[in-house]
Amino acid sequence: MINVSNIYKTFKDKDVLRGVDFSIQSGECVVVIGKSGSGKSVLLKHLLGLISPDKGSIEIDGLKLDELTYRELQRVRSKIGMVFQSGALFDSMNVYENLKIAIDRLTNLKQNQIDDRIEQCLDEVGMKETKLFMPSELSGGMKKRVGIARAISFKPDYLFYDEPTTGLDPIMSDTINKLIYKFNKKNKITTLVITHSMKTVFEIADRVLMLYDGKIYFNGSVNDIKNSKDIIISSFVNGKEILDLGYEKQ
Amino acid sequence: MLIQILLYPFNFLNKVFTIFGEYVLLMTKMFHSPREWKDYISLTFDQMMVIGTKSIPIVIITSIFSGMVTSVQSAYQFESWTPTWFVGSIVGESILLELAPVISALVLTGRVGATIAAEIGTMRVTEQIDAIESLSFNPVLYLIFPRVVAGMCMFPILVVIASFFGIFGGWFAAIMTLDVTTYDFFKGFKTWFHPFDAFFGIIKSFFFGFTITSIACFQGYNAKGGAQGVGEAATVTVVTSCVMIVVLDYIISEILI
Repeated sequence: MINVSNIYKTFKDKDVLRGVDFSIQSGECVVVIGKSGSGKSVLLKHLLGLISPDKGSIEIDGLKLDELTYRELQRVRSKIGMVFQSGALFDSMNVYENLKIAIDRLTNLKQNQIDDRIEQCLDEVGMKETKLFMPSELSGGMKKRVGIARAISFKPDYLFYDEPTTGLDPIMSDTINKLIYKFNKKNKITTLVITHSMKTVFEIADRVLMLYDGKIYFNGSVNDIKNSKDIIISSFVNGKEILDLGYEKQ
Repeated sequence: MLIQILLYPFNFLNKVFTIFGEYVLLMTKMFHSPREWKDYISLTFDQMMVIGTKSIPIVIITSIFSGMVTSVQSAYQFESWTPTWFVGSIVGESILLELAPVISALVLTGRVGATIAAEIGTMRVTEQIDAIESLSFNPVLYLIFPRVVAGMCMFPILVVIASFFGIFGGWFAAIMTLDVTTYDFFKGFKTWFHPFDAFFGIIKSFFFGFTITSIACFQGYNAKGGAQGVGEAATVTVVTSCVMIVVLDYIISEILI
């Protein structure tokens, strides 16, 4: 279970997070939405312990991240699979090595078991044939799928996705959404997804959080957000600018 | 406006000390967990290959020509008043004490320093360092420790190679273009030679190795933005390292000679 209590974060003079509060139950799939620059990725980096909050606390499985030693924090991180926006594959390693380094580090499997696990993970994301490809030989969607394979390869308790469908064609986005849904429901991995895409929200979310003005502006179900009459929420859900910019396609 | 101009030197100094403080903090992080070093030894050997072995050709080329130039120019300076066998002395002392370590370090600043800064900088801006951290690796030990240790180990070896080929270049130019025999050249070489001279260059190169790799790692690790940030990290690495090499060269000479 993840508990985020009243966290604040300021970069230079910009208040990015101003009292963010929420929790995620085991096995839940929570999607965080919000405009660009609203602090979604910053929030995710807090949950990974890559950034510390100025105020407030984050608990994962009852452990407060800011009270942990570096080794203890590493142990917490070993329960979290992270899928980065760009895939963040190590570009000096091929696909096989990208998965192997994670499994080697975070499990005690033997070499033949590691090979089996890599085959299985790549198969799950439909990338078995790219085992020996370098990241530079993969398309954006393929990189994200390999990123997902790497994140699930050590069987984490939590999976975090940073904008998993951004920059992908609609079919590839659908594939990624289905993979996220599959790993959440089939493998019971607690999932947190940061996205702009309402299609992703509608397809995978158990619960939706909306970040606005550095705070959680909305916390509810997919149906609640669909039917919300709030102008800020409905403009985001429907992709409509509130301000009249003076031009509209006739 | 006037106040800004007056404050500029103080702001600049403040920035320099802040960056230096951050650099020291990053370097000390390498020593926080010596128990973990063994996990990164294999990466250190990989880096020794990249930093050391692959730099041998460029070090050989630059040192041969440094030796040749020294030989020709010292003969020109002597003209007819000094015996030509002195060329061997000048070449030997110049190469061992100064040219082999300093020219090699300056060349390696571009070859090794810029490469490290660009590589780690690219990893930073493409979230690969965050990925390393998310996989429970210590990014300082994973990225910085192997490069700095490899630099400290391989630079002295490269300087030994540079010294050998520098003297070879000086001898070759002397016998080919000047009226100096091999016997005269090595007679001159032995006349002023002290065993400490050979070690002096090696000691300097150890510090140069640390300086170049650590500055490059620091700049790459703190790169911001995209391609421009990576380019800036590489440029700052080369400029800062070159300045630090000549400063250190003086300080080490003052202390050891």
